[in-house]
Amino acid sequence: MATGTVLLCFLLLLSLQSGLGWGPSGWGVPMAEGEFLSEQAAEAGRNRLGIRWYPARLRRAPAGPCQLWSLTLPVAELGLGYTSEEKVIFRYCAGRCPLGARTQHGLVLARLRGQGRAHGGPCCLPTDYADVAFLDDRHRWQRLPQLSAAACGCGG
Amino acid sequence: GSGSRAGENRCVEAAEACTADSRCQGLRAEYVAQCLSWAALGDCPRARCRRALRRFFARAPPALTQALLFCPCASPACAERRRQTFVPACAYRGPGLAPPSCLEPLDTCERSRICRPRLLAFQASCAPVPRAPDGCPRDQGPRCLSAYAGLVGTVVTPNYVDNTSARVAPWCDCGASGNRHEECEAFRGLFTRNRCLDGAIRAFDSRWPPILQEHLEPQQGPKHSLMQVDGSPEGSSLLSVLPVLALQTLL
Repeated sequence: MATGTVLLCFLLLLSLQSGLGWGPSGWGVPMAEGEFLSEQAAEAGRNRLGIRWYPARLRRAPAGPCQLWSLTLPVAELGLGYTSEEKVIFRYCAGRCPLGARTQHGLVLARLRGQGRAHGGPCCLPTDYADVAFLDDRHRWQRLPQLSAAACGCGG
Repeated sequence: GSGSRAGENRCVEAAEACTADSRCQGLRAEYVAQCLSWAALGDCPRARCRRALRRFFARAPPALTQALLFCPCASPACAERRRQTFVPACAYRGPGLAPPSCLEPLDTCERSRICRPRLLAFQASCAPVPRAPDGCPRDQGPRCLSAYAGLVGTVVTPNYVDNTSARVAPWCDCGASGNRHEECEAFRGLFTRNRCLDGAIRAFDSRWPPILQEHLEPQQGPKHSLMQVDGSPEGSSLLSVLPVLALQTLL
């Protein structure tokens, strides 16, 4: 009985990790999606402007190569404590990186990884940043230097 | 904040339209950076701030920069935002607490290679013309506003004087102008008693929505590898859709 429960839990965890769809009546991902949806609704409800604007929550790993992504956010959504009527553009880097290398360090590391003797893989990172500036609710200028990514590259 | 939507505050709309354009946003962030910093003597680096402002108005799309400068307002919150838009604490005020006599910036401007032509252009496009049918230069609205924008970042930078009207003036007065009092008043009157300038600023309101759509053209920012837009707000205002449409034309 206990072994069966353990097995079920194990299968559940596996399905969550691999992102398999089990259908609306199964366990695994749909239940997780249900959680996400209610979390979304709660967060959307907390949105100061009362606008429910989240799309379906993104999967952790984006398909596609390392590239620059863009989000348009109300200033409050930056979570830094500022309030403003303006929306700002926040850019970040995400995507897959090929296993190649640009430095000698990277060359050796790629070889070791290929042999299974080193962890991890190259990651998608900003190589340049840009400032974000806005007028806050008290009509004072706020400048957040180097807050947003401006270009991406694969490193490490 | 009042929590008002962008649709009710034209100046917020203009700010967002600027943010959505890479040139406008970059140049705006640059002048904010210059005008907010502090020089060694405890004052802002006025020359650098003003230079960054001139670059902003010269290089960013005019539709967007003018929308920021001339956004029509019906509330003090909107008008205060409009008044603060080019960091006037540094760019508008000079050193010292009291405004100088207008003869000072006027004389400096006339001797300046940068300021003099801009002032002449402003006088040519905005000064009343007694012989003209309506007393103003013909079809002058847009040219007058461009010429006004050209003065921002010079020693005769004009700005809105309060948040309850659309009155503008340079930071100076005609108290201590001696026997050049008339000359002083005539210069200051170009801003404070100018029907043609007032009319041009008011007329900007009627060109509003097309102005902001005009700027939608293929983006050629230096490091742009923008491939995806996600998480955009849905249906909050037309302007939130415009950047998405612009980026979709790239795909």
